[in-house]
Amino acid sequence: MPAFTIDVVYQLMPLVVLLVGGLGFMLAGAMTRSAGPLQRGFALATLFVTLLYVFKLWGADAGPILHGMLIMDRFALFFLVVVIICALGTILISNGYLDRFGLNRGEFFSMVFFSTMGMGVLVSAYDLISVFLGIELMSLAIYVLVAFRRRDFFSNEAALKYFIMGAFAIAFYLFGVSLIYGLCGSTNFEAIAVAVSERNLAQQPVFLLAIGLIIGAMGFKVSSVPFHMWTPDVYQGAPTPITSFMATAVKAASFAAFLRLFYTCFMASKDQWVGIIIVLAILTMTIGNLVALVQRNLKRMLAYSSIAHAGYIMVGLVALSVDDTKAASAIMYYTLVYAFMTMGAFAVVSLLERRADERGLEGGDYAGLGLRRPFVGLCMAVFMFSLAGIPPTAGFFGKYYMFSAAVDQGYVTLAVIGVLNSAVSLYYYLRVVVSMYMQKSDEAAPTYDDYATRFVTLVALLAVLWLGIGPSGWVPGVETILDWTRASLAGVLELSSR
Amino acid sequence: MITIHHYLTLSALLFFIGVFGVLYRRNLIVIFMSIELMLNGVNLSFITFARYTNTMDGHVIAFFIMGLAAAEAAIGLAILVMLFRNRRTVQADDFSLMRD
Amino acid sequence: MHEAIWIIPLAPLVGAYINGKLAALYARRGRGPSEKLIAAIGVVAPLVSFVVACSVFLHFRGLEGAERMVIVDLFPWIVSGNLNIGFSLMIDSLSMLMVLVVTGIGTVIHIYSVGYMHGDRGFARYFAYLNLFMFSMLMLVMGKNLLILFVGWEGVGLCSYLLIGFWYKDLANAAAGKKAFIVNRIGDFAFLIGMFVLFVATSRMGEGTLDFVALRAMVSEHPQAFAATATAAGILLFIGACGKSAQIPLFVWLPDAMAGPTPVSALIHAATMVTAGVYMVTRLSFLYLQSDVAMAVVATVGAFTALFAATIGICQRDIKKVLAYSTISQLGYMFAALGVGAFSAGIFHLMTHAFFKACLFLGSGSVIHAMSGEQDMFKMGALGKKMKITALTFIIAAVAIAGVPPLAGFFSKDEILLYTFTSHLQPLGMVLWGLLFIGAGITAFYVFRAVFLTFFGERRYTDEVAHHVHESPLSMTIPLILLAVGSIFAGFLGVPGVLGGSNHLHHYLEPSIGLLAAHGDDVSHAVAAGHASQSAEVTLMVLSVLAGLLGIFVAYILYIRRPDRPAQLTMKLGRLYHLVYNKYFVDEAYDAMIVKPGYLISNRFLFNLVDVKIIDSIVNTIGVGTRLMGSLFRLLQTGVVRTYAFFFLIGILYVIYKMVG
Repeated sequence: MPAFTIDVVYQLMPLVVLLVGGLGFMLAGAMTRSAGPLQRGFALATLFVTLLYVFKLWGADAGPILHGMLIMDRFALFFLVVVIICALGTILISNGYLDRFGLNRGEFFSMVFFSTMGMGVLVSAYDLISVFLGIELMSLAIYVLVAFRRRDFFSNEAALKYFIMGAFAIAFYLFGVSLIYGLCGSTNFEAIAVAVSERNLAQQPVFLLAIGLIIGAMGFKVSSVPFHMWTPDVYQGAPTPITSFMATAVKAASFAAFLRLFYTCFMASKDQWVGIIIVLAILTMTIGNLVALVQRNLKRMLAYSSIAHAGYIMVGLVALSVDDTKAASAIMYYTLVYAFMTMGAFAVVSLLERRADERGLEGGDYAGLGLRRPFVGLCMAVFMFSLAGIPPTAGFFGKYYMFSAAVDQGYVTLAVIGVLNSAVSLYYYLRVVVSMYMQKSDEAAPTYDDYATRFVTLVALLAVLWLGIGPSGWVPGVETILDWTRASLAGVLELSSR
Repeated sequence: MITIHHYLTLSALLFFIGVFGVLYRRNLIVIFMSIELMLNGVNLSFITFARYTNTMDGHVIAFFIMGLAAAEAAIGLAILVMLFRNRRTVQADDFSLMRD
Repeated sequence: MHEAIWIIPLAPLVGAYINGKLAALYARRGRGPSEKLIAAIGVVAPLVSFVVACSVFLHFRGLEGAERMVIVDLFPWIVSGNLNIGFSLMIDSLSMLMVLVVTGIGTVIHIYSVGYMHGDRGFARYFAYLNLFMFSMLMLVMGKNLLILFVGWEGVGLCSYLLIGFWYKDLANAAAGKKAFIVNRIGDFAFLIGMFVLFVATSRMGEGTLDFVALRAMVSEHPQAFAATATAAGILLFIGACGKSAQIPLFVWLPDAMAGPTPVSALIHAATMVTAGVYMVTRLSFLYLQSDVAMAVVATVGAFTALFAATIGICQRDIKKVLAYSTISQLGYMFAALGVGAFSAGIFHLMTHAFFKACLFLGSGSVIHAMSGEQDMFKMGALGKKMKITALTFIIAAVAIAGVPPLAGFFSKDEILLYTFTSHLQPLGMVLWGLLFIGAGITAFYVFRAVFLTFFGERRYTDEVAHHVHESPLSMTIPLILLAVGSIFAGFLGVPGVLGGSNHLHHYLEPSIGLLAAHGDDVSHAVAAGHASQSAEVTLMVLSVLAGLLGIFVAYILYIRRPDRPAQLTMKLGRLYHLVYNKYFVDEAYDAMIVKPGYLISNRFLFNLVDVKIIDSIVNTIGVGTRLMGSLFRLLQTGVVRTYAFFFLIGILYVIYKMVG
């Protein structure tokens, strides 16, 4: 079978469009001093075209392509949609932000596109090496984006830390992959699954060692304790739109790969790895929430909150089961919901952030925001409620599905720990709300009249409410989304059981 | 007779020398070099297994890794240059403005 | 047309919405639309309901018994697990009667209010509340299941609270509203538990339901299985009814509720809302019949309340307070009737009472209006000459309540007395009859005391006040006349057989409470109640009429012929008078026994000790501890990238150790 038929190209179109967009903006960046409205419009349009191709591919639900390197199945497409939504949000938030911080260069969009494409590769990876390529493609662009405020010490330092830790982690990943390659003779997911069952590798120590190394590297990407330590520094130092991009898109794509890898290749060894994932999930939730309690800088607090949320999602990984897609579907739903609420929260943060020495980011800067800017305040309050998991917001239902999946699989203690952690998190999320509505501010931190960013907060607000209680209809509601996740997972399971 | 175990031991040694280099050296350039060393250890392991399992994938993967290591080095050095311009130092421990 | 019964509650809701909006507009701008517009909306809304109700009534006329039933399932309301409650409305014979009373008298009182509230700043607000009340009350009587009934039940409670405290700037009024609300909540709590008991019981039997039709079918299928449930749920629900219908021990709110505008007292606190408890018990008659204990409780509480409240009525000076205690007393009669299984008699009295008590209240309102707000009867007198229509209608209603034939009160009260006397719950029935019989005499006395003090005798007010005394406008007198006509003729719906009638009402209501007949043999002998010998029946009738006439005569002697006697009697009776005059110190007793200790326990023990000292310190310790742990973990975050790599390595080694080892 020839690897490159027209059908394969068609299936690769989302990635191709992103690649062309990336290259185009790189050229544009070389030729123009700053990215004008036209370029920004193009950036949005390109993403919409990608989205269009994704929707057209949804019906096909195709098998592996390029000798089993990639697979554009519904699972991949679902996460691709999440990632593209995040990219859209990032570009809209950065619209005003870049102007305010004097960063307005075409390369910015170029890097966003490359990194989105990397995520596309990552979510559709069907081979350990395409996972590696996807991670690298995504990360290399993000390193650049983190360092985008070139004169800013924090931004520099964040890029350095992220780079060193990223390279360090990927080396461990590759070491693990090489061991698996040695054992199975291939790096393809399907071939690995076959080899594991044929040669009875599930309990083989070297195989488990390899899984351990890969857990470490994946744990780094999703910022799980103790591989998380870069997260707060990098989230704090990066330009806010990029922070939100990392917290949402990078995390979603990494979890997609994590999920597919463990759901297909490593499921046979679940008894061996589930114990360690439980420990990591508990540590991640607990430490993330505890340290978030004592944070003053809002970006840093959200960074720890994102660590805690990674912990909640790992509860879903623990509850993975071949017989029941509930946990996996909960992870997918949670990723989507988390993307909206976090994107919205960072959009509000970017509205208050000012250029000089990290102003506008301390808790006190939010005093009285709810009264000064009722709309922005309301949005932020809803995002905080949702992150804390208070009904009827989507954050509550995300946690509910996740923990109930864990309970179904018998991990009651884990679910209880998760709920207790939610209670702890309430404290620091609500502190923001209290500050916004119940404190008076002497010197009011101004918010910018940035309509693109406000649009993001509005969309995120509606999504957070709709994904919580919205009925399915013309706009997809909770049930529709859960149906989609089930449809996606059916394909993944079918392939892995072949 | 040099067996696969010798190759693998060498690759693991290279890898862990790299790991300890990252942990214990302060100069950023040396840290970058240590990371390269880790990747080279991995490469050796891939090629060993390629020979051992008699497949071509390992060889190809080694080239992939080399290519991406080069790209990574390019970006890493760019970051390094930027840091040096702003802070006039390349000591890893000097970059600790953000903590708690 | 009769399928559109949802219009009946909807029309007042729309009225309430529009008038509410207008009231809000008025509050914001300081001026608003003319009173005429507000009044038109406010009056048309219940009128529409009344017209639709009449059309349903006409539709029913051609139908027989159980066919008189319209059910409209609007939408599924609460669906969760095995709980499935539809938002359904139902009109059967019982609801029909209630809907007619509520919308009919409601419309009349709305018209009266137009005159009474003229010039009040809260004119729009008043009609918004009053329409909202109509909506709630109609939901209450039209709900097809207990939960919708409860929604209406709470809704009327809310409106009652809002209207009692209508002139909220006077703190006493606001306090009266709060008192009504809180006392009602006590009853509602029991009501809720009663509902839970019913739901659990039906769940055990199969499908959990609160639907009246389904409940009734279930109870009639397995009457034995429901015996215990009927006692528990029956008594709990009756406690709810005690709150709403002001029975012992939860009656204390109703006299205070007179703080509201007088038409409100007439509509809510005499004719409709306070009868909700009577309606509810009748609606669940099939359940109550399964438990003699619950029935006995209902009857006893009712009869005691009837006498107790009547005695308090003797000594009141405030004309509205007299009527308030009279209402409590009359509600007691109704419950006594329900308790001995004479459900149709209870509903009959409910209906006639709605007419004459509304008429009395509106009459008193007319008087208060004329007297520039004076409510003390000892500062009135001889008003009959100046306010002929008011006086005439008031006297008609007074004769009706005194039980003088052939006015409405005679027939209904007589039926109740008859049924208690012949109740199967002997000797309780005799005792109750005795209480009610004495009560009947006292009723006649206190109501005619009010008549004589207000409209006859000497003038006891200043010239200045006299200057303003005048007959009320047409919008107030026409309702009075309508209600007086009702007080005269409503009784003919239920003329007993012994007087040559056929008791239409009894037959009309039969399908709604028909279970009574179905279980005549074993469960209840209540049916046999009507089977006293004709001579006994006539004797009872004559006795009760004599009691009424005696009461009137004594009042005449004391307040017209010998106006100096009451003061002497007061002196002579001393202590006893003091006790009754102060309403047996019930309020004070509740305050000392429940409110004060409750406050002390809450403040000293629950708040200062449990909450502040124990709970808060535990919570604070946990909070501080959590933050401390957060600070400890934060120390690991050194900011140096090599440390991060070190922890990464530790993590990986730990993972590998756990995986391989």
